[in-house]
This record gives sequence, structure tokens and C-alpha cells, in this order.
Amino acid sequence: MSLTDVGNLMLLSFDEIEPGKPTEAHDYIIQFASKKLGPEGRNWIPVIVRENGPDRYQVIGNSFIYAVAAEAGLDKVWCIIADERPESIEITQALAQEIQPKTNLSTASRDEIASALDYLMKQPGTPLKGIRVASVVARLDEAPREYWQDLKPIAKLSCGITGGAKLKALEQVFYLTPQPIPEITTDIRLLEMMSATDLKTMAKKQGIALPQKPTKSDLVKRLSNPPEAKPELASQSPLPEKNDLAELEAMNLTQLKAMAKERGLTGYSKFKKPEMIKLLAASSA
Amino acid sequence: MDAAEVVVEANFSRVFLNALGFSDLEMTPGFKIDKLIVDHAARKNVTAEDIFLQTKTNPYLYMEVKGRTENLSSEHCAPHKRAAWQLKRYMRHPQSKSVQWGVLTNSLHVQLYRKHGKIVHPVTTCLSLEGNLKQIVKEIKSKIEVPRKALIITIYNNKGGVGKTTTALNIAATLATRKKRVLVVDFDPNQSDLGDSLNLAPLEGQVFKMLSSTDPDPRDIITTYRFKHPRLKDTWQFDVLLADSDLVMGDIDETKFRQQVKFTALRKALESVQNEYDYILIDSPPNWRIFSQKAVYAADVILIPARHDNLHSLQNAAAAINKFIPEAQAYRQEKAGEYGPIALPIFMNNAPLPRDPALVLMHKAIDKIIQETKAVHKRDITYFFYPKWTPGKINHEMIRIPQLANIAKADFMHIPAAFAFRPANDCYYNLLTEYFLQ
Repeated sequence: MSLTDVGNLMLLSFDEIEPGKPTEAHDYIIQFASKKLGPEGRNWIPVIVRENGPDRYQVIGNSFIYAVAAEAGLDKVWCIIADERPESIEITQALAQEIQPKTNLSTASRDEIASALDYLMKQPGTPLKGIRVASVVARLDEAPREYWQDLKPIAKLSCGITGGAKLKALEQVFYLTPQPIPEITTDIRLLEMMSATDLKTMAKKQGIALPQKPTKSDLVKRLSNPPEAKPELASQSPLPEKNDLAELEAMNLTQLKAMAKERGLTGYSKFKKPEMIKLLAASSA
Repeated sequence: MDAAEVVVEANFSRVFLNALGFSDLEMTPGFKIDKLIVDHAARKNVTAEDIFLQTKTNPYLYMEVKGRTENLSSEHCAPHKRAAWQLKRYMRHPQSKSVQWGVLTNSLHVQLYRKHGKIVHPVTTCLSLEGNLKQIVKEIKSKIEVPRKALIITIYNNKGGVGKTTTALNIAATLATRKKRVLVVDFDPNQSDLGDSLNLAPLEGQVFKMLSSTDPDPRDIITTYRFKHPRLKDTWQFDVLLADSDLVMGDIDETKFRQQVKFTALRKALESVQNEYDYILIDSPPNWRIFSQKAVYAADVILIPARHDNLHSLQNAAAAINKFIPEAQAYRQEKAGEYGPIALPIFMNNAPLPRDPALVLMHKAIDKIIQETKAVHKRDITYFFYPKWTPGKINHEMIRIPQLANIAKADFMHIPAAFAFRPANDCYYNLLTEYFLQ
């Protein structure tokens, strides 16, 4: 049996508890609840506190209950003592819905982005009315958001958000933990983000020959497809000599037809996959 | 005195004592007691004629100074053990009766000790002075400016039937016959034996109410027990805080108690009356649950009775020393910034005559417990069983209360044996001089 009171429900004197983050609940709701509770009542939903010092506590969750207890004039309040780790405070505030949920846009999955946007759209008086959620989600998902320093690039995604109040609204739920931009990259999405000067520097570093006065689109084209990395067409989609049924099964119809063409087979233009597999298996045997 | 110590002496000691509130005329370096020399002694000057530097009488505080190379950062370091032993020896010296505090320092770390009779117990852990010198000086100063009168002793063993209640009562009675002010706290509501032995009915809810209030104060619910011996002139008396029957029979279960009474409440309540008593004794229940935990937490020292014919009582005594008391210490350090309770050597209750063959078995069992503790906890607890054992000298002598028919008989008469029978009183007085009285 441990000695500490962490994790226990305890009846603490109201004077020993300092308020934490004030509640945003409307006075009307607090009044209603405090009338129900009364000065002698028991707050069945406890206030969550942490210990600040000897006989000193601070509210870290359910600050609404604390406000009601204050209004009702309770001498003693039922509390649960939480430990003092910062993550405990975060967990408590998330569970008590006292913290604005936020999504890391640098790493979020498509579903997380969709969910965050849906939440924003359903807020009363949202400035995002009228945007097409599906397009915003698609644009955001494919954008190079892991490198964004702020949310401004969203305005350039042509998804109906052009800055102003709409962008502000997105800031409520999204935050970023940007990665450094790599010195050399072939990622078109990234190259598009950079200035012409930066692109020239990058080309110089790689020793790529440039035309006189290149435009940005020239630069992007060259850098995204550097000469030494030009893939050989043959090696682009190597079609192995396969006749193992399982391996053929794993290929799609286009690949199977390409293989048939290589082997000089004919008459398969209307074939479906099972027929193709039969044909190829027979051809190699 | 080595070179490092000289440096600390020159640059630190006087300034440090000044900061603790002693002027240059109120301290004496190289204070002599018999053939021993303490690095520093200090005392406030009471009158204009009484200058401590000149009179060198009634020292109040001793300070033992070590060089910066001597590691005093933890009690487990050998230099700290040596230095602490030295300081305790100075403080326990018969000529140091007036000393109440001891300071151990090497200008990097400092630890404060308190003396009460023969007992010297640490009040703080080894505090690092680096970067927070001001705050630590302030803390130590506030402690030594307000001396505490009472020593709070909890009598604990999580084995039942070793005579905890009998011990508490008879120690209280013996102290009362020596004109000491004593409060006994019956903190075992499940049995409330202590009140029964005195024919006093338990309280009903008042203890719970007192402990669950914001500033617990037990004054209103303390009972005075008086005993008039038919052949003696004066009356003996001591105070009792009786058990609370509501905590067992009433509607207050352990859960409710835990929810409404803070862990620190008993300590707080006793601190509020600690200047009215010389000794406060707490009788705790035989387990490691809520009441005994609070009783151990509240103590300065823990007295552990055991029995020679009960192996479990010996094993449990070791468990208290190795596990439970360190737990309570850690919690006191965390909660109140104090060192917490220390264990005193175990004493044999109902001990047989020294030649009894049962004692051979008992010593074997004790040796096994000591070896096991060395293996598991890397700790030598020989001292707690054999306090007179010194390196290089085997001494199996233990502190004992011998078997006396009178002690049991007195229980049936609802009188503490130490009040009714002289031999019993002598035995307990002997125990008190071993542990507490100087």
C-alpha cells in the first residue's frame, strides 16, 4: 500500500485549492449547477488537482466544477489528486475537454486532416463555409507540408482558401513541426516552393548545365530530372521472365500484357487476367 | 586538521555561524569537552556579563567541519559515516547536556542533527549548498531558533503480540514517575487496548473530526490519566489521546478515513502540542496500513519491540528497518523536506534469563536475518540488533525487558505495571536510560 495520495479521491478544504485555467462556461450554466449543488451538497464529479506544496493544491482539470463549488460556497470539495508530470496535466485537460485539440499538419495522415477540417466546419459561425472539404483535404494531403514553416502556402494550393479569416480558422487546429529542406532534392513539390535563386544554387552544386537566363520552370524541370539520374527505359519497369503462377498472379493486367508483347504473343487483346495467366504460363513452358 | 579543512575553517565556518544568527562573541572555535575537541560551539549570549566566548558554558550548538575533499554528499559515503559518528559522540557526551543541535559541513554540503536526551537524530538530509546557500541557511536558522521540546516516538512492529501497547504504557508511566510530561496516543482503533488497560472508554468520532480539520489541534480531546499510589504522597499522571471507536464500529471505514484525513495530519496535530510535552508516544497497529503508516510518518524515532520466541517478530523488525521506515522517510523528505523517522535498536520484550537455550536459537535466527539483509539490501543492520557490537568486538548483548509476572498481572488490574510495582518500574527505567535519558 503506497503512502502517497496521488490517484486518490480526497475531500479537500476549498481554501487550500488555487484555481487553474479559468472555465469558459457561461455564468448561466454555473448558476444553474450551483443552485442544484447548494452549500451542503456533494460534487459527485470531482475536481482534478495536483499538489503544489504542503497543503496547497491547484486545479488542473474540471475547472467548471471548481467554479460551481465556489459559487455554491462549498467549504470542502471532493478532488482527485493527480501526479505532477506535465503529460498528466495534458491528459487531464484533454479528457475534461478544456484544451483546444490540435493536429500536427507536418505529420498528419489524410484521415486526421479530414477529421480536423470536419470539426472546424461544424463550429458555429465558421468562416470556412462554402469551401469544398474534399478538395482541401486532397490538396493538403499531397502538398509538401512536412517542410512548411507556416500555413501560408495553403493559399497557393488553389483549394478555395486564399488567406484571411479562412487561414486564421485553420490555425486553430493545425500546428507545424517543420523538417529542414534538404540541400539537394528531385521532389517537384519542393522545387516548386523554392525561389529561382535557390534553385540555381542547387543546380550549381550538382554541376547541372543550365541554359542562359533560365526561367523557374526550366530550373524545376532540370532539377527534378537530373541527367545522371535519368532512368534507362528498360530498367524502368523490368519485366522478369516469370512463369511461376504465384508471381503471375501478383502482377496486374497491364503488366501481364506487356510481358505477352515481349514474348511476341498475339490474340490476347480482349483477354481477362485469368486467361492472360494461362497464356503466359503455357508460353514459357 | 588537514590542509583542506584549514581552508574551510578560514573562509567558511565563522561566516556560516554568523549567518545562522551567532555573533563573534557567541561562538568558540576548538571547544573542549574532556579530551575531545569540537570544531565549533555556539550559544546566544543571554546577559551582558555572560559572553559565551569567555565563559564557554552551556553550549547550544556544535558544528563539525570537514575539508572539501571529504565527501559529505550522502550518508552512504564512508567519510560522512565517520564524521556523523564523531559529531554524535560529541553531542552525547555527558558534558554536552545543554546541546540541542549539531551541524555537519564541509562548505559544500550541510546536515542538521537534533539532540533530545541521549537521542541524536538527523533533521535534514545532506543538503547541497551550491547555489542555494541563502535558502538553506534560512531553513536551518528557522529550525534552531524554535527548539522543540518533545521527542515523538512511535512503537511499531507489524507482528502482533510483541507487547507494543504494554511497552507504550509502561514507558509513559515510568517517565511520569520521573516527572516528565508525557502524551500517549492510542492509534490502533481496531483494538483500542491502550485505553482498555487504563479503564478508559474510547472516543467516538472526535479523533476523526480533529484529524480531518484544516488545522488539527488535539488539545480538546486529550484525557489526563492520574494514578495515586496508596503509600505515596504525590499523584502521577500522563496524558492520553484515546482511540476513536468510530473508526472501527462507526460508519468511517479505511477508505473514508483516507479520503478525508491527509497523510500529514497526525504529525501536524502532534506538532501543535509538542512544546507541552517532553515525550509523545504513539502506539501503532500491527500491520503496514493506513494507521501504522501515519504513525510511523509522524515520528522522530521508531522503537521496535520483538520477542525471542517469535521468529516472525524478528523478521518483521528487519522488514520495518529495511523497507517500511525508509518508505516513510522518503515520503517525509518529499512532503516536508525533513529527514523523517529513524529506527532505534530493537529491544527484546519478555526476555528470558541469559542462559536460556532458546536464546541460542534466537541468535542464530538473527544472524541469518543480518546475512540476508547484507545480500539483498547491501546494508549492515547488525547495530539494530546488537547496538554494543563494534568492529573487532563481538557483543551479543541486546536491550531487554525481562519476563516479569508483575507486568502481566498489572494488566488485569488495569494499571500500568510501572506505577504499581517497583521492579517493573526499574526495568523500564533501565530501558529509558539505554535509549533516551541522559
